[in-house]
Amino acid sequence: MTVSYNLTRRQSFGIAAGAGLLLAGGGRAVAAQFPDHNINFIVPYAAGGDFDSYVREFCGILSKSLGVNVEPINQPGAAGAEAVFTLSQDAPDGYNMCIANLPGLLHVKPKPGFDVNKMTWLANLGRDTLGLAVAANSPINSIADLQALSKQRVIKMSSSGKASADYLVSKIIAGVFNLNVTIVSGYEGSVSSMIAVARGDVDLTVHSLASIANMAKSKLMKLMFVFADKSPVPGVEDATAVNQPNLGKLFQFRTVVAPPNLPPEIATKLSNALVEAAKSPEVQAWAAKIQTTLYPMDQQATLAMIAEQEHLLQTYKDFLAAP
Amino acid sequence: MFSVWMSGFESLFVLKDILYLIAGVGFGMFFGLVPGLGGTTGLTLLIPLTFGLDTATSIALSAGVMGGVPMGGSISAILINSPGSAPNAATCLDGFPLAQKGKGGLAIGAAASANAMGGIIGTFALLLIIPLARDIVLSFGPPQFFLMCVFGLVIVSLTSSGKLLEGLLVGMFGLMISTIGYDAVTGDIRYAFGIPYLWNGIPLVPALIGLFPLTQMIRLFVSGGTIAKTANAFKFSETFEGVKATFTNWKVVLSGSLVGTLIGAIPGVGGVVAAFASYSIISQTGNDRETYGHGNIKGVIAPEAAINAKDCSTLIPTLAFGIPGSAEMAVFLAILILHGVDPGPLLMIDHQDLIYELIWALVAACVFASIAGVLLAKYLAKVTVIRANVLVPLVISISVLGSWAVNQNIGNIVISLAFAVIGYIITVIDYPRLPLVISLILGGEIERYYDQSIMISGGTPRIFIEDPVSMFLLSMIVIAILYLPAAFIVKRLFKRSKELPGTV
Repeated sequence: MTVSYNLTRRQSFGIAAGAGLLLAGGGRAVAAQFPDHNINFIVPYAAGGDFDSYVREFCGILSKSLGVNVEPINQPGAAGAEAVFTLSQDAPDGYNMCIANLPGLLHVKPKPGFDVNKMTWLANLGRDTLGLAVAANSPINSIADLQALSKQRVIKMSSSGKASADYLVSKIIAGVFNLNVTIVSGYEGSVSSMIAVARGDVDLTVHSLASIANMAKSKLMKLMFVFADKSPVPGVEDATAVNQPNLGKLFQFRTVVAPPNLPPEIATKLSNALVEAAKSPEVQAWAAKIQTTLYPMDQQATLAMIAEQEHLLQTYKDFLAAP
Repeated sequence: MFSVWMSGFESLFVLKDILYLIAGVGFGMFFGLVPGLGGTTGLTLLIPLTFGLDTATSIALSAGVMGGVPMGGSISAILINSPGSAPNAATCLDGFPLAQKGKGGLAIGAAASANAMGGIIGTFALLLIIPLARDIVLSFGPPQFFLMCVFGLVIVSLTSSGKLLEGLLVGMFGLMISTIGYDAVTGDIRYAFGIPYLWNGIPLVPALIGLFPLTQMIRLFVSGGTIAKTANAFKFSETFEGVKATFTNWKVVLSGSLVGTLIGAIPGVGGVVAAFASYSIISQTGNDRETYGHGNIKGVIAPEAAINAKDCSTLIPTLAFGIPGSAEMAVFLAILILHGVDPGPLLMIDHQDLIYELIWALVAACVFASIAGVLLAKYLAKVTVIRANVLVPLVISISVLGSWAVNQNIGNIVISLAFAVIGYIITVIDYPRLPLVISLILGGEIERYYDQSIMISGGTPRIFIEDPVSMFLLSMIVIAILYLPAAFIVKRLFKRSKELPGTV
């Protein structure tokens, strides 16, 4: 049995070429009034993590408030930096925005043509307190223990990559407490990086308190230091206890960014929609469920936060420049 | 323990959940069938739908998709040499030659039944090893992952026996390509030539679309005619012959399922290694080695059983620690978290009912997908008798669209076309394609795990022989490397000992 149609090879080649042109020609029309078609909300990591969860939750609310579909798009790479680098080359039309991992992104080595200060920062959505965690059976219980160990051998820390907050904070504490540290990076996600501690591959890691609490419940890890003025966990050291108040200002921020030179009216519209979404009851309920801390900031407050974080990093510039 | 298994089984028998499961199977088969879409895209699209569903129904729907995707992927792998998902690349090796012989229905029947059997065996193996989940996951760190990946490379090199040098050359080429983009550990960019698209390396799915369906369509365009060289009228009984072949070759099903279960339990290694490991073991240990790659039904059964068994055991790292064993599992994790189920060691204690419902839902999805595969084989196999001038533009269009759809990037199409040319050249000069596929998949991982291991050990390679798991994996690698020369020597010795009595 043969199914046959009388097309020549040239005609069939024409069909394929036509299909290709149809695909390539579907470019974005210039928007007369923003927004008039779908908006891409880019996640700089693979699906499944906290940043992905943020974007998917916000997409539903934003779709309703903006009146167009806001679609989550995962664009992992370079520990979260690639998506933002690529975004910097997109058209400033408001149809592409990305959630970014701050302050990690502020420290990452800029690629040609990329300037973090030229990007259009729209809003901040979340702010998680960070902590230092060691294996449950580790003899390390304080910064003093860490310093004593560092005099005997190199201390190893795990990290997901150079554009992450955990990498940046690891470098800072190595400098502040004069520790001899090797950062083993390249772990895919926070859980893998924490498992490395539980296995004994590395000595400690920096992550959000919520992530550490989950591993602590299973008796694989314990919290030994909190990057806050006052530790919410009794008996655990904090920035005040070690006389380093600036460490209490280090957080993991989840901030939304758009391409450079986005027209102010579009930026304001997106910023307002994001802040309103963060205050909605649905998002509040979701945040409580996944134990993340919503911390909505409008455009101005976000820019002030970035300036403050940059200033903070500037005070640690020697530690961050260390190899 | 038995009562918990059964309560999970009973909780599946809710009409609404079964209907969602069946809908998920259909959805999954479609996403598996179209090259480039796959289960990750399918599950991601379903996330908003699960908002309005309860946890148990969301799990049933997700399990349906996860069970349906491998079956859909097998069908396109067999009929048009296009792996719907990366692990299905192993099914192409013997499935497509069978389709060329006009036995597409036989291959689909075998794949469908091997899929179901693999899923069932994998589920029971999973139920037995769940209590050990924590120990298994904690036994694997960068040194052990590195050795697993090397093992994967070695076993694939075995499948190109007879063309070892060609296989090595193609594998080296693949490893070189895999160094393009970011170094996962140092963050440096290599060989991107200022093109941002290449910063994240060569994307796997567009490359596979180029290497398999597009290469095949170029060949079909050049040769003309149809995929099936013999235009046999399709007989429904042929599909059942395929099902029968699965049961006749139960040892192949069993070994494939066990290989899939073991490899799936290790996060980060994935289904590709499971499918190829299963294929290699069968193709290198039988008496009919020379028939593999030319349409041996066992070459379809072995990887298919492994793929579905792997899907079950991938749940171990996913549920026990929240480490997704695959991209698909990463999305599934997101669905669980959205429903207030926190993956992690406590999940095994707090939500046993949901875990066992998920496991049984996966078994049911595998069975439903297999039944659908068998029933649809008659119609789907007609693809192989469509003439080139119709099929080629159709498949090229679907493939190009699928490549673009991975992350809506036009660069993917360029990669697919480039790999189509590379794939065509490789087939014209009769070099094996598989070492290129596996080195593309594992090259980046090997580099990352090696760098991490050396950083952990402070620069000494002793880390690769310091614990029992590493020693075991190292022994497996040595055995795999020595297998071919040893088999050759043993064969020569036997031959000589048989000749000796006659010479006396």
